[in-house]
Amino acid sequence: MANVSMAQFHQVFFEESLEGLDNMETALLALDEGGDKELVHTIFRAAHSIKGGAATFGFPEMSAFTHEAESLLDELRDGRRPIDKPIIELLLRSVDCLRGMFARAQAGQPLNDEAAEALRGELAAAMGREAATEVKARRSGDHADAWVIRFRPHPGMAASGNDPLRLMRELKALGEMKVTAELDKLPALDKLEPGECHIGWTIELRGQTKRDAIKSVFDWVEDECDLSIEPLHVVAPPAAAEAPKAAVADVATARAAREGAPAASAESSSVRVSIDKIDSMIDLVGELVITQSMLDQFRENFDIAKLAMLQEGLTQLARHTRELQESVMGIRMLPIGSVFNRFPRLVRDLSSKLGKNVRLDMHGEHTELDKTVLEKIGDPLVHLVRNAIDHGLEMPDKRRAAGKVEQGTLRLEAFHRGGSIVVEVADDGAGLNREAIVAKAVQRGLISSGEGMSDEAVAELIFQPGFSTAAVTTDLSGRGVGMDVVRRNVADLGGSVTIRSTPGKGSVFTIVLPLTLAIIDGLSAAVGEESYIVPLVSIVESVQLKPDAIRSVAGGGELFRFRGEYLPVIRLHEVFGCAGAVKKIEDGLMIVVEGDGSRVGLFVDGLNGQQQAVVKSLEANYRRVQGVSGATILADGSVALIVDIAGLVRLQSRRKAA
Amino acid sequence: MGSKASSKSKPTGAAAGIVLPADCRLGALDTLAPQLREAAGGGAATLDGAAVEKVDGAAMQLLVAFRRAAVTAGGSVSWAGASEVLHEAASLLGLGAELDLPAVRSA
Amino acid sequence: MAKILAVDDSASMRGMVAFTLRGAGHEVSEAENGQLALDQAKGGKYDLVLADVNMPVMDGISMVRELRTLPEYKGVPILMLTTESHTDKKMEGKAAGATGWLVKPFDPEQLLATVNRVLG
Repeated sequence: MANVSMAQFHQVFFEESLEGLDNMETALLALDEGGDKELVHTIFRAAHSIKGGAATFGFPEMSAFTHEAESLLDELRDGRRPIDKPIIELLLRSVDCLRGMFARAQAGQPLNDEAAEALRGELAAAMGREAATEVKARRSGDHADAWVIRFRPHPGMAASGNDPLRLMRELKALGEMKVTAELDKLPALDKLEPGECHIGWTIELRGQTKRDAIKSVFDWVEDECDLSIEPLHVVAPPAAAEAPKAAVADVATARAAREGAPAASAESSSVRVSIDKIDSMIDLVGELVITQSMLDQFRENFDIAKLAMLQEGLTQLARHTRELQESVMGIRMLPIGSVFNRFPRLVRDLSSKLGKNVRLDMHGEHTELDKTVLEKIGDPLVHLVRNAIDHGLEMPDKRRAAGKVEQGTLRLEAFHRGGSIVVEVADDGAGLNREAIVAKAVQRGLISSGEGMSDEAVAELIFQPGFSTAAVTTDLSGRGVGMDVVRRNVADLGGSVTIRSTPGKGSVFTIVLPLTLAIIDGLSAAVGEESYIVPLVSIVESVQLKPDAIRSVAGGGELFRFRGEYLPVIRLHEVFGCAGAVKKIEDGLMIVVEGDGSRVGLFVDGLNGQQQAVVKSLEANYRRVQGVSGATILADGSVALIVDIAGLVRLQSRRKAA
Repeated sequence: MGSKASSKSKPTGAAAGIVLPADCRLGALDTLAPQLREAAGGGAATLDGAAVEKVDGAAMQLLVAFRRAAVTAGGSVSWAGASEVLHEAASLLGLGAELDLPAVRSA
Repeated sequence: MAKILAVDDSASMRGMVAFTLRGAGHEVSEAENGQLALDQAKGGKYDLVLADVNMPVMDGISMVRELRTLPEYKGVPILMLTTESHTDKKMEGKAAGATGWLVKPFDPEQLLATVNRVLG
């Protein structure tokens, strides 16, 4: 029964612990760069609460592991041990290992694996190297995560007012308890003197408890019972020889687990909401109720003299509804810092592996993003950061030769711009190498030559499918994933990726993301009898064209000239088969949109105006439809489809190819 | 003492019902023990522990000895009720299975 | 809430104990030596007795020994209020039948924690 009630706290425990691990990692990295010694306290506290929580919620292996790390931290805290690179490295690996344990705990798998045990051994060994054997003995005797207590009261114990039941209750306060009563000495009923104790107990106590704490439960009855308190060994000590290899494997699995975890747990995941946000929502609901009752009075007796009041009320209602909507959407908003957090570690590991000197400069960690967007933006960002360190930033000697400071700077920044979130990954490296890109693109058959191509167009090549392959990426970058995948992933979130690069000065990748996936700002366009919503973020401009602006090309396609470029025309009425739509170019409107890195013109009858659309999934309610990202319900109750620009562009190019 | 004049007569299979007092601790056992000894002679005995508010290890021990004695004598013990306090005590002392308490009534 | 008997010859000490326990909602009676306490204990059943060791007329240890002979005080918690230096007194009290002890000096919180411990 205790387990059932505990289980409901597990998810919260996981979340706060993972956060704690992130904090530990951040602090460890800061410490590595010569940060304040006070950071050790932060790290210690995080480890300590994970240990306590793990013991409380029934994860003794995790508690035991954290205990080792905590003991090591305790020595660092006391100054008994200097804080050096190997120790930080070891603790960083412990953080990874714990993340792996959490991933396994969430998946309901056994927590300990060989690597975890090996690392636990390493932690213990790290302390054993310097800790005196006597100290070690004291520790292993005084600390344990599980104890076996054998307690047999002498017959007279209860008469002195020491009730065994009370002692049990006190023990239970120290941890989770498994009690076995030993009834072998219990006399028959007619021989039993009710005031005498004849039952003995064996108690398995699990929890972070010191021997002293257990002993103090029995302090009044020491002379009135037989008592033994022994640590219960849950895990056997690991074989030292296998340790390093296994530990490396664990880092990999932990990382894999970490990267896989958000997706796997997305469905049952929860959001922690600050009380402030909830309070403001409650306030708004209060306002709504007041407005509603104010409007209610018009139901019974309305005369035209009250019209102004009614209008005022409706205005209020509109405002409060909008504010409430914003607040509710705000619940899903989480700071991007939780994604940024992984980068100090990544940058450190990567740059030291490549022999580069890189400073990570992060800004705007508090910028909030929709939780869903947040969960999915991590991988594209990791790719961009890897790419910047791998390809963008030069080796120190090369930088020196170019007259730059040896240390390269990688800037990671998030900020609001209009109704969007912008995330930039910028480096002050060499910038894109035009010749190399053109050469590679020619080699891959993407272009025949780079002649006459603008720098912008050349830069766009790196986003082309097939541009980057495993053969051209190093083992560090990409894992065979190209920039086209980055762009696709971001496009799936309703965002876009662009690059600006200056030779010798560096590159900036700019990701523009919608604030939320649940509501989009769109332009409602009329096509025949139907309405379609075009996401505002993808709209470049709307133009009315003259008949001669259109050129037909071989294969049935149409092009029109827009700012010196020829853009393909997509007639929405053709794509979606709408009857009664405008066919003549001069009678309709061309909406220039950008999606998947290219621009196209959407031909529609006209515009109904801008509006916010609450996105309803078509996939969930019907099925996936090419070129449509969802549906929304309009004010008049009719349904409008939301156009998926990137999907339409892909559809178009496929048709062209066919 | 609480023993009746007929304390020597056998229960002869008739149900013996014993109500455990609200304060079922050491101080109450001198009264309770004789009742239990009498009921343990065989036959079906019923314990009503619904009213128990306080209990201690000694009382629980006595109840265990009683059940064992009753079963050894070929009788049976059933519960007419057991309070939450009794359940907690049985669980803390590892006597849950031994005492075979009934489900707690939601009071 | 429990019925508690506080026994100490020092009025200030007794006062502090009684005040603290009453503040926690207990019903507290006071006695200034072992003999008076014994008389009082026979008159009403207490859930807990707190007794100083060194008292005139009848000391705490004798009082505990006497109390334990009364059937209604079998198993009732009796705590000795003792000073740390007197470890032997703890054992003497235990031998007489005391449940446990509370080491002087103690603050109200320690007192309440210990009282709650024995009252369950």
